[in-house]
Parts: sequence; C-alpha cells; structure tokens
Amino acid sequence: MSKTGIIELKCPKCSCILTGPGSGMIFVCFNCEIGFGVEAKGLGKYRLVCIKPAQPRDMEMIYFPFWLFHSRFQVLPEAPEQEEMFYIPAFFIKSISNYGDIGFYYLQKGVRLESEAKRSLTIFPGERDILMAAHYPAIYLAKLLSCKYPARPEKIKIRHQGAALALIPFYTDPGGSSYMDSQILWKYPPGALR
Amino acid sequence: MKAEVFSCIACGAPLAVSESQRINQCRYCKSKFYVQTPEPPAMVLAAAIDEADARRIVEEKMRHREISPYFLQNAVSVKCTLYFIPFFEVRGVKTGTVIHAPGKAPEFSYQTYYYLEKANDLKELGNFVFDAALVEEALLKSKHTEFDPVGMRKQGVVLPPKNTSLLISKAQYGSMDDVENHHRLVYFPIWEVSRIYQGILFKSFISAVDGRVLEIQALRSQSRKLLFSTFGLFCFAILIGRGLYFGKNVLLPLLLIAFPTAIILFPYLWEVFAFQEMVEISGGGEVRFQSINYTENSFVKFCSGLMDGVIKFFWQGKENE
Repeated sequence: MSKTGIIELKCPKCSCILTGPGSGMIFVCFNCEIGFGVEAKGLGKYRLVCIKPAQPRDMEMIYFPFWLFHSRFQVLPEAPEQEEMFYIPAFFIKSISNYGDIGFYYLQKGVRLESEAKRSLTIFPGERDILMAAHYPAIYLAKLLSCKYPARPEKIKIRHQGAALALIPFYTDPGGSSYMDSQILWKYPPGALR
Repeated sequence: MKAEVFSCIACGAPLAVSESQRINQCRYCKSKFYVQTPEPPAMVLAAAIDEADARRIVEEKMRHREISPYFLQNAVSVKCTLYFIPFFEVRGVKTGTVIHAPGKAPEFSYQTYYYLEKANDLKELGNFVFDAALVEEALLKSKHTEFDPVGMRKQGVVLPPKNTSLLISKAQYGSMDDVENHHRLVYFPIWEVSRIYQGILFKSFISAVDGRVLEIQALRSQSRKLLFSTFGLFCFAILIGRGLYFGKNVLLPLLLIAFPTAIILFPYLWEVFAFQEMVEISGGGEVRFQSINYTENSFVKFCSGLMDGVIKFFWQGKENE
C-alpha cells in the first residue's frame, strides 16, 4: 500500500451503510449477514456468524470479531489429514504470556460455538486482516503439538477450506473494568485487548 | 497528519480526508469511507479533566512544605493550555523456539510484544520529562476517542509526530521471527498550567486523563532554611560567648564545632539571602531543586544598595584624599 485511497463503506448487495467501529478495519451488514474486511484491493466479503453465549449472564455484551477458518491439516507427512475449526482473534491481545490467547484456548479446549441471528450489536474494533490471521492456525497447531514433538508452523501442511467472520460476545460490567468471554468465561482487563 | 482531497464515490462532491482518521464521511450525501493509507492510524485518550479542575489540582498540590507561601499568594495564573502529546504504539507477534529448562528439547512458542515510544521531543514544553509508562497505564484504564484533528485543535495544541525512526521489533527480540507488526499513534492529553511570579514563568503539568500531577514548578520556600540558619547562628553565638567567658577554652570548641557548623550552614545562609531556587515536584513526589537567576525581596535589594553606598562613600573619600 503505497498511496492513499478510499473505500466506500456500502454493502454491495443491499446498499446499506456498513456497521463497524471507526478505529477498526472490520465492518458488517446485518441485513445480508455479511462481514467485510479491509484488504489491499478493497473490501473482502465473508459469511457473518454471530455466536450465541454458551454461558448466559445478565450483563452487558460487546461482540469481538474473530476470523473463523475451517481447515484441513497434516502434521506429519505419513499422518492422516484432520479437520479443525480455528477462531483467530481479529483484535490484538497485548501480552499473551500474561493474559493468554483466547483463540488458542478455544482450540485447546475443543470449544464448539453455536450461532444465532442478530440485527444490531456493539462491535469491538478489529485490526487484524484475514491474510495476517491465516498464519495463525499453523501457529496454534505448532504450539499445541510442541509438547509431543518440536513442530514448526511452516512444516505443518494446512489447507483452509473456508473462512468466515465470527462475532463472539464478551461480557462487560457497566464500569468497563474487564471483558469476560461468554464461552469459557476467560477474563481480560480492558486495555489488554486492542 | 496529512489531508488529501478526493471526490465522493457516491455523489462526486469534494471529500477532504485526514489520513490519521480511518473513517471519513461525505458532508453532502453522508456516505462513509474507509481511508487506506500507509500512515499509522491514530487514537486519542479521552480527557476527563477540564481547565477548572486542572487549576484546582495544581493549587492543591502547591500546598507543599517546599513551596514558598509568598509564591502561592502572589503568583499570577496566566494561562492553561491543553497539549496532545503523540506516542507511537508498537504491537506485534513473534514466533520461535524456547528452551524452558536446561537439557529439555526446545519448544515452539509465539509471543506478543508491545511498547510505546515518544513521537515528539516536547521542546515546546521545556525540559519536561514524560514517562511512557503513564500512557500505557492510561491505555489500560481509560477510555479512548477517535482522532479528530479539527476538534483537537479547537481544544488545544496538537504536537506533531516528529520521530519517525520507529524501533524495529527484530532488533529488540533477537532471533525470533516477526509474524506481524502494527504501529499506531496515541495522543495523550495534558494540561499545562502557567504561573508568573516576579517576571519568571513557572509551568505545571497535569494529566488530562486522570488528573495525575506530572510536574509542578514553583518557587522554593525559604522558611526551613531560615530555621536551620537561625539555629546554627544561635549555636555559634553560644560558643563565642562561652569562649569569651572561659578565655583559654575558646579555641577547641570553635575548631571542633563552630567551623564545621559554619561550613555546613554557609550554602543555606547564602541561599536565604539569595532566594534563587525553583522547586520541581514530580508526579511520584520526587522533589528537585533548580537554580534560577532571580532576586526576590526588597531586603536583598536594600542590602546590596547599602553595600554599594558604603563602597562608593569610601572610594570617593579615598579619591578626595
């Protein structure tokens, strides 16, 4: 990206103005259930999945964007191919050594997320584009398998079958002193998520 | 903070976009646009402290034992300016192998890194030292607003980001590989409260985010020094008196006590009559003193005038002879 350019934030299907936080690069059209990510050539179009809270609480919710990859991978050349869903945060976690990577925990705990229809949501700004996020399934796998043998992400053969934009609800208290994931109740201080 | 003019894709009207502001809206047809630019995005920490609060906080903090009460009474508050200080926020992810214990096989690991770097040398604010840790803390606890250069300029002074030599993450993290690296500009608002006293400007800085005192500048109180000096002179007078009374015993106490006391007290005595010190109190309560070229009261002026008169009198007397 060498020059400044502008992209109109309008749904190509229904012509509605796209919804999204001003500081992020992820936008949605709730009418058509499409998620958009800013890419080098314009807006990339993805299926939008709004996730249902697994552990309902009577608290305010804010939806965090995740890139959802349905991938097939082979850890060793002789091993059979496996399938997995990867939830890669589209936002940045300030220090994963302190706060942990929620996307990795979903993979580690084998969390299966259920979707539900939504018309309007508060969305947290996401600044990680899909091209960057596409590196993470291999990184997660390498981290997960490194206890068994020293795997490197580049040695893992991975094929992404499909991608979608998932909005996962996090609970927040009125003071905004913390964010709590609605699936495994993992807590983050507000500044840890950017 | 460059601005470029485009034509609105929807209605063709001119569209002035700020590169630091990611979302821009057409004034005519209200269409929204995302600005794709190599410039880093910017955000602003929300200012929760207004001008009145900033002045009140400075006055409260100036009731410090090291600050002159005459200064508090007589210093004139001249201006209160809001400055937006730019910082580069660098975030990224790196991967590599880590050996957790000696003799164990290396394990694959990935880590995030994060740091803040001052993007302006703050020459406009004098020798003010700003700790980036405060910004990091404010980013954790405080609310952010979107970057609005026009609105910010109406409120105060927006310092431009000058330091573009960003640190390269690889240099800091050795052999680990970078997966991604993002830069962002974070503007931290501070209040500069200026007071003028006897022609000298004293500046104090308050965080506009949480009202924390960053630095207070004021004239140093002389009362403690005066107390020490009076006590020293009193001891000295007693010793002289004792010496005169006991005759032969005068030399030893003078040597042992009076001379060291006089040496210790000399700088205090000097400063009592010179009044040439500014006190700087940092946010952490650390007190620093700094000499200023300044003579305060009429007593010093009277003494120096008297000495001039005496010298002139004797000099002229000698010349007449």
